[in-house]
Amino acid sequence: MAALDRSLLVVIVDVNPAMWTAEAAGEHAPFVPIIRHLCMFINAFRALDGGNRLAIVACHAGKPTMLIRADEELDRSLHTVLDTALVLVLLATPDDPAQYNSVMNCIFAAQRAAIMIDCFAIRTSSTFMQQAAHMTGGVYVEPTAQQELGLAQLLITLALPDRACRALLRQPKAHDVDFRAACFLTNQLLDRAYVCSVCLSIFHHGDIIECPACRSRFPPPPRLARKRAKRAVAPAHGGPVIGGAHAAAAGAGSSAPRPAL
Amino acid sequence: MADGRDARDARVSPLITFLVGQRRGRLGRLYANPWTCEAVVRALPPVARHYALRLVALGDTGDGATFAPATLEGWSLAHDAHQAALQWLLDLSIIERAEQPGALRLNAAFREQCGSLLCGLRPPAPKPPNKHTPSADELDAHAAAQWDALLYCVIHPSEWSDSTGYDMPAALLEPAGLIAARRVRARADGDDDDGDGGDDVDDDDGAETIEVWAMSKRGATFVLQDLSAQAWHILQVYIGDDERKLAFLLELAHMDFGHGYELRDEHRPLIAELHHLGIVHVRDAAKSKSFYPTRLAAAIVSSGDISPGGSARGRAIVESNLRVYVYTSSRAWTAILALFLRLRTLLPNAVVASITRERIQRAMREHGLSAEAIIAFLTRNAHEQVRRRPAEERDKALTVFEQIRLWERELERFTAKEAYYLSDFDTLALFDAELAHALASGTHLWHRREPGNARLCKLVLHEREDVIAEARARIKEFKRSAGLA
Repeated sequence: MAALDRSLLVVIVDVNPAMWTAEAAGEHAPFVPIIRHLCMFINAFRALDGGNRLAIVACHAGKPTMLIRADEELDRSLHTVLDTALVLVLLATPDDPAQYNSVMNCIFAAQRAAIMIDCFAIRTSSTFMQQAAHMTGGVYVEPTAQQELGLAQLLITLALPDRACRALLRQPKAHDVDFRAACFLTNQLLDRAYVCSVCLSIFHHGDIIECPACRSRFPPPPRLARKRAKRAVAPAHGGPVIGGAHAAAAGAGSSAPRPAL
Repeated sequence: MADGRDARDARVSPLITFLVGQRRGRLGRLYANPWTCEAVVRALPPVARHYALRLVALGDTGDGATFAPATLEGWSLAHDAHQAALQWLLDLSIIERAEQPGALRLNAAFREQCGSLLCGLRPPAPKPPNKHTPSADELDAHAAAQWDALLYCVIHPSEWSDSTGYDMPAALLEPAGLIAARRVRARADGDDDDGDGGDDVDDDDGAETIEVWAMSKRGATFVLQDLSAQAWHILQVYIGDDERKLAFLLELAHMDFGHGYELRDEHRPLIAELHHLGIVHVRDAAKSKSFYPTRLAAAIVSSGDISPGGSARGRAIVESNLRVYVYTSSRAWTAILALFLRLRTLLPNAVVASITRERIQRAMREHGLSAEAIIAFLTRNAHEQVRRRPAEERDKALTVFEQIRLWERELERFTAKEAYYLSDFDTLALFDAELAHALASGTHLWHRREPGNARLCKLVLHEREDVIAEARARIKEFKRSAGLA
């Protein structure tokens, strides 16, 4: 019984030095109170259940460090031991489009393992984390300066309940999730794109001969079809971005990147 | 009360049940301890738990001496869950009604202590291990042995003996209603035979009687309950009116198993009894500087079904031929099984017993055990092997359980009442008059009216002296006036 109630919380804190320089330059208020609010939230999580486990990861530019590690036993089989696993991301720097692929992979893995990702974007905003929260059933919040003063309260209200409780408690509505995908080659965020019909990779330009992800060869596009293929790839509602883009591309008939048979 | 309590979880933590039964003022004093507050938060049902923490966090921003019930309602999506959570918090005095009509307020002590928890208050750190630190196995063995002794003492209270002179029957079991004094005839061997159903209640035959402890019906039900229910039944008596004891118990529950903690002077008077219950291990209650909480301490706040010794759970196998195998070498378990089973063989590590109608019905009559209590006991302690079986195979054991229920119903088939029987009436008019009297006075139990033959009319009345005397007088009067006498 007790084992069923325990949950694992993984807190990922963005400690990118970019925010210190901004802080030193007096561009915004210091970050230290935010860590204090985070500590309160973590104490509340501990108070919820004696069996609750915690891991804290500090995320430096390109180099994550595990600050507090959950039990070894939990590490091995996360979702078999635990009822619920939550990931809380405290973000302070904007998205890096170069990370698009790995972020999406993480999101799908979390979705499959029924792990919720909550994200609090402090004085920044993130398209990727917005999608992560939306797809895993978590919350994405950009606290206002006023809300930042009571961040602990916001965290306890929004990020503390597990999946079963969130079904009973009111959570903020996600407004207009930005579902734009990034080009696999140029890392640009795209409204419309070309999609490899074999591996569903997304490209800004249609004039590539071979898919760089799956090595499928595309035939040279006929001139007439090429114009039609430029039809908009509308943002999908709710579903996986790539699936949506694929559907649009398939509807366009003989779209540009196509594998050679 | 139609306040959404139906939506409450069927399984409520025993701590919550205990606290709800306390007086309001006392709850306020209990919340002055941070570990009590944390244990309460953990024991609350999920939605109420989040309400409490949100309210504490709200207070942190400075406003919020009082708030409207609508604030809470706005947090919730499900009306039933909201009502249930609010009612729990009100019952536990975590939320109080403020002076202004309709306004609510968080209990001040609760807010303060939970606030300090959120700010990072931690339980006292354990002492580094030394050569006296008992191993986990030793602690488990201590807890299991003490709890076994307690259970055995409930069944055979007169056999209690303790080297330190602690009188558990008088100190805990009698106040808890688990045992009661009973007069028995003094015997030469002084042994209170429990084996063959002979009831030794005093017979007023002039023989010398002595007073001994014997298990009460509540005690028999108690030994079949799960550990956390048992622990709380005993602890309610242990705690009594002393808030320090509850606070200390809940602090114990937050300590780590297998570590030693410093025994502070304020807790020294409390520790000896907890040692006897197996909740802590202490080498010498008067002198030792440290004590070691056992797993039983943590089990107090969890609602799970844990055994005092940690690992030894699930040891009974019930076969569809009414035979029961229980892997145990404990004296208490053997005594518990002997309450409702016929023991066939005692092996070093197991007891072989059979379920018989005579034993089960005797357990129901003499010890007041219900079929459900017996079935729950056997199901809860089912052996791992049994649990692993597919459901349809396990269902075979259900025929055994069904048989136990049938035996229980057999006992309930007849209910005996003292009654008075009237028949052989002289005239139908006399019978009708008596029937009317019986119905009017509420003493009527049964009647049979034969319009053709008043002699065959029958009337059964409640045995009540005054009513029957009146009826006799009326019949006599009737016979006299009719010239029949």
